[in-house]
Amino acid sequence: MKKQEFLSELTGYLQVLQDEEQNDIIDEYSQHIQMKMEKGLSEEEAIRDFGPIHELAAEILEAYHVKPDFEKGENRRFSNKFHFSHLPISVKEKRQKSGILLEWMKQAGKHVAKAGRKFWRITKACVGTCLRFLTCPIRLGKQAGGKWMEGRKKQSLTEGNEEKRYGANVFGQRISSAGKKGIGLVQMLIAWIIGCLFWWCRLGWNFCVMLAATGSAVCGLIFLYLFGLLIVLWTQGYPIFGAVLGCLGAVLCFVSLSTLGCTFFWIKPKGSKSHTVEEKERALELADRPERNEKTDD
Amino acid sequence: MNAQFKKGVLELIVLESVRKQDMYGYELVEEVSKVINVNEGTIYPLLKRLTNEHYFETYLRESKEGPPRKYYHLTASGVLYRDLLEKEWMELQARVCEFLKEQSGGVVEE
Repeated sequence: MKKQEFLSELTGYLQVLQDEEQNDIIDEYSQHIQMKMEKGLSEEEAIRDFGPIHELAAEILEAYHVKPDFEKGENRRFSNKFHFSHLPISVKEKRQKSGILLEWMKQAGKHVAKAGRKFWRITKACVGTCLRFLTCPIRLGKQAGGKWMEGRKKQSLTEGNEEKRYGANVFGQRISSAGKKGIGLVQMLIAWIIGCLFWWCRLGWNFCVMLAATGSAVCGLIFLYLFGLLIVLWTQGYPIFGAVLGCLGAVLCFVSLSTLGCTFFWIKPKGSKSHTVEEKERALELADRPERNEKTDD
Repeated sequence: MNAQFKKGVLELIVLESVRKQDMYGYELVEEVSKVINVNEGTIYPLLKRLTNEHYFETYLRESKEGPPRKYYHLTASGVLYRDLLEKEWMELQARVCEFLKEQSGGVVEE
């Protein structure tokens, strides 16, 4: 066996160690062989004195507290596929190894990408829901605005017809219609602002009520716990009947408080589908009004 | 000689060899080989382990022929460890000798 062969085979066994350490060891053995050869031994003889390489490698690994049979046992599972851990690492082998590594990395990349896509989808859904919830009043305003615009269109059509009929009045009418348009817009804006205000008020109110109810419910639970604790102590003879009664009272008080709190929720009335729908209708009414006004003007 | 005997006492021999003067790997292997016949390859892992456990320090020194050599120097804790090993070795040896003497004496008496 040649020196280079010996060293590369040994390196193959020592893959588990850091590169620096590997080089260190390889340097030592290479120097040792060199010196033996200077003493007049042949390359083969110098290497033969080391004994079987796998035993030598096992001893080296033992010095690092690494399981000597790690490569054989644990890694065999991978090496069944790859066939590199127990063979000397030649250039070809290294290429194969890097190819496998690349493949493996590709697989890992695929999985990561898949997970990322899933995460992105979930995040998007969550954010979308939140945004929709928060922009609810804006959308309502827009819808109302759309209806109003439709109304305006109809109105302008009728206006057009009227223009033909009453040519002389056209100019005055136009002025008045422009004024009404402005008023309608302002009305719509006001309706929208009111809608927004209502919506946010409801949100804030419900939040406060929920907070208060939850707080008293938690207090109730704490007192319930205390009540249980004290009742056990009381049955064991401690003179704490008063405290037990007090705890019971507190439990009842807090439970009834939280129940009361629940009745204060600002729930949309059942008759109209929702409070916001009411707003919408109101906005529509407002939008309709100019049209009616127009008619009465005629 | 029994390989396990050699293995057990190798550490002490290596430590003792380096105590007198700093040595590089090959020199040390030759020194140890004078005492016991041991596989040369096994000394390097031992040196590595003793270095990792801070019983040895290493440094590089230029040589007239070839690349710089890595010299091993025994540290203070290495000296203590050597003394401990020596004491243990002496005890073990004495006890084993005593035991063997007793046994052979008994056999003779019978």
